[in-house]
Amino acid sequence: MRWLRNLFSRDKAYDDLAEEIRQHLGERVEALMAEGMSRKEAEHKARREFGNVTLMEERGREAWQWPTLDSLWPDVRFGLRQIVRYRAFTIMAVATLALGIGANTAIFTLIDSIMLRPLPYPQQERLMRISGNFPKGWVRAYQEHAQSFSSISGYGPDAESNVEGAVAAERVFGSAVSTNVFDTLGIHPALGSFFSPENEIVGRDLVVVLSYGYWQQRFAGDPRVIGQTVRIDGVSRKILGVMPQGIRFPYADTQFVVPVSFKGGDTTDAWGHPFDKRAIGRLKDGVTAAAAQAEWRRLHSLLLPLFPWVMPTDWEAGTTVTSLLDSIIGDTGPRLLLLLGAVGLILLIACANVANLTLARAASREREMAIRGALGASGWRIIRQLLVESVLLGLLAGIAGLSAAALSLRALTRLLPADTPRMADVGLHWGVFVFAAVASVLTGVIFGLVPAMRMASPHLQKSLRSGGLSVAGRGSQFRLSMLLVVGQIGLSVVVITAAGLMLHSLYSLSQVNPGFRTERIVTAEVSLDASACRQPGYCQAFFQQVEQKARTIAGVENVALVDTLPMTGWDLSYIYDAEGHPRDAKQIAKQAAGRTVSTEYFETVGLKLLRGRLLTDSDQSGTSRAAVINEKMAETLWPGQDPIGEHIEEVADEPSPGLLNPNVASVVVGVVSNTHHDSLAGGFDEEVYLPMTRENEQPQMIVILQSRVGTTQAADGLRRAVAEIDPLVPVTHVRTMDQVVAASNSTSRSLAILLLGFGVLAVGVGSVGVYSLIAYVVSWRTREIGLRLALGAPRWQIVRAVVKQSLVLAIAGSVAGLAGAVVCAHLLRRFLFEVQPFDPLTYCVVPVLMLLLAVTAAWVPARRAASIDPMVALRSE
Amino acid sequence: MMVLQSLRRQPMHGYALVQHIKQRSNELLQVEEGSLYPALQRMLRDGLVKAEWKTSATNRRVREYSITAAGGRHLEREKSRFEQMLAGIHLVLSPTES
Repeated sequence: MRWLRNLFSRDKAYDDLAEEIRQHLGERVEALMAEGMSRKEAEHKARREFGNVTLMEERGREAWQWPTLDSLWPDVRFGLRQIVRYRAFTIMAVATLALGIGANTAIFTLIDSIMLRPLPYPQQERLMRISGNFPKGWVRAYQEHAQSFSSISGYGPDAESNVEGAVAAERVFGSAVSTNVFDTLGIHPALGSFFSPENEIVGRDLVVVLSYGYWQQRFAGDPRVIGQTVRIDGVSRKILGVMPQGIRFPYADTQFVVPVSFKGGDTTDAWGHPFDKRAIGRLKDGVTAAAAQAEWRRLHSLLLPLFPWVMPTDWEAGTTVTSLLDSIIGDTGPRLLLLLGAVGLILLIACANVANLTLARAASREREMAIRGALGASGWRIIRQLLVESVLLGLLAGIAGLSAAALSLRALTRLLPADTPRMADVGLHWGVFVFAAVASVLTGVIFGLVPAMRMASPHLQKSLRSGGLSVAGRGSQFRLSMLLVVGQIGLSVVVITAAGLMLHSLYSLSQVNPGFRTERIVTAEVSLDASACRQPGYCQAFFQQVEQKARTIAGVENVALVDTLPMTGWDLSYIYDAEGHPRDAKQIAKQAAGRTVSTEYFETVGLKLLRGRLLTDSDQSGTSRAAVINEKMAETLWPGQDPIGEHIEEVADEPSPGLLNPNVASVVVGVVSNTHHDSLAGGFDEEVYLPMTRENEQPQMIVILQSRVGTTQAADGLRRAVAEIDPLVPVTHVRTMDQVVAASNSTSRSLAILLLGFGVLAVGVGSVGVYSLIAYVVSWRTREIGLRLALGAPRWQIVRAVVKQSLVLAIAGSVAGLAGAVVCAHLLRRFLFEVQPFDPLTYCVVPVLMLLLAVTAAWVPARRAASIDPMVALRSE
Repeated sequence: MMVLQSLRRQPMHGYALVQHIKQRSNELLQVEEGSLYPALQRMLRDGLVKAEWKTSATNRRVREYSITAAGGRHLEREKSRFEQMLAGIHLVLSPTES
């Protein structure tokens, strides 16, 4: 309780101390006078011997205070008074800093929500993603044998299915998952129950678990759905339960999951095609990911013989085990860090700007500081008080910035690449508030420290004596400010160069010829139930009909079908052995992109025939076993030879060694030109085009319309045409080919746009910095300029001098900035396409831009300088 | 420590303390006189000394400090620690014999 008593007795203690010191000095003076000194001399000497009275008194008082808090409070009050007093300065500084802090907070919010926040599963750090694509039996075998994991589950690809609705079927994303997947994840149903082990048996697997979102959207959150049936891809499934809110597994757009099921005793069912299961596992206590990975690889050779045929030993031998969170974050991590780097620089620029404003104000507060120093304030004391002021400004800016970040968050998430994970989780969490607070305080310290240190070491006498007026401004006064402006320009150059490199890269990307025609092409997906092709020939016949009907749509010139469009990121693999390329026990089979196409595909998208012939309608019977390959595949497989008549055989299950049976293998009948099919940035890959035969018929195909009419019109025509055949079949994903290609580089585009936005922000803040410095210098030199004019200097010379000063700053800043950009560009390398990190174009344009800005920023102050009336300027003293 | 030692001999006020320390150290220790007061305040806070307003021989209102029991104990502790340190420094500085 002593501190409480202290609180009340404190004033008395202070008074006692002051009185005591007064008495001390008095006694000393008397003693000295007794030695024969005059009173004045004695007083001087006594004071000198005593030291700094104010400081000693303060130190003495500090003994009674909570050391920092108590002495801080008056500083805070004083700082607040200053903030209110210099209102224009406050608004300017807070706005500039809020911009920087806001941008940083916004980007940090993304980093926090996407990269830092744990996944919504208990002990999520133990959840591991196991890389590779496996048959379902492989995942089950590991679940039985692996000791590192308490549980392993598989899940299939993200697939769209037809869910029967009132009118036409609805296309809904779903996935097949191991029945134990919810145990692995450690989650409990929001409603009903999850799968039981018996759902793994074919026949008892006609069940489904809905996502919370789909339950809300489709069934309006009605709890009575449990036990009802829903028809998915023509199969009736009983609704078992609903996943908890916020769970998006396996994919962000998953709306339902069905169990992976096994036919008892059928080995090819468990081990055969498709090899499309991915795996996650929950680590046991104390097991590291590395240990689990080592065990997985060790088990690989032990479990490989479980395949009912011999598998190549290289197959999925390099599996890695990484945390589920990391695998979900994927490439987004470096992108977000890049953006954070950019906004970090913006904040530094803003700090430099405000530091300069503070310095400019410091000149007018020089006398204030000098008086404080004369009254006994120590240097540290003044620095502390100025820092409190700047930290207060920083906190104000932090509040403004945080609000701005919160408001702009929705817009920002829309600007992010479409493939950014965990978008739905983006929001303000406590980490963001901590970040904003820390950023604000740090900002305050950073921009406040330099001016504070400068102000705290005033030349007492000089400041006190001079009225702050002189004919010519002291050059050295601005040296620090100029350094700060050069720094600002340098940092702006770094950000804008990064943006320039990305833009140039994006431009190069847009100049890439995808290899196929994109103009006037409309595409749409027509989807039968996945089970439709169980009736052989049904799907083939249906789509042949669709193609014919589509030809009758008004304005449509050409119609073709393909099972997957190029450039969508989803290619079907064609795993094959080729003639003349025997495969030993170790090797895995070759892989190409496989496309099942209708006869008109080549002409419609504009592929050129290089050798042999294209596919014909008669190839669709399957007897010719014809296949067309692309140039790249022909060169890779049979360099310098004629590929026509060579055989390739699809071997989805990759038995080893490779077996090529010429009696069932496809025959290469033609070679066509290459296309980009994955992304514009990648090179050409092997590609196989197969006819729409009964063997490889697909339940869903993309209809490609080359049309003279608009997208909506063509799509409406297609919808009508399809409805004439079967009104329940949905037509979805209507896009032009241009949109498909544009979507493929949306990541580069959104990164470039965001960086460009930040670059503009950086340059904007930087230009304001240049402008305010030049304007300040001009106003400082008003009298000097007036004198020059009075002495006959032409006005253009004044303008030139001012602009020159700005240009010198810009040149110095550009040189420094380009040096910095060279370093940073190295980090950008992975984001760039066909643009060197030292791209000459960008490195020339950016400095020119900065020089233009420097001239623009200096123009108004220069004009003002030139229009000074010498008489007014000289009289102002 | 010096302050406490001086006060143990007799209670004194600030000015007298300064003069006393100066004399006893043969003017070897030249400290800023003022710095005594923060030190006294800290000791006052920690209960090592107590203070009383009195009138001095020269008829001046002075604040006389005297040592408390806690102050005495603190002094002993500090002194022994200081002596140990001195001995240590001495040993390090003296030329080694081996």
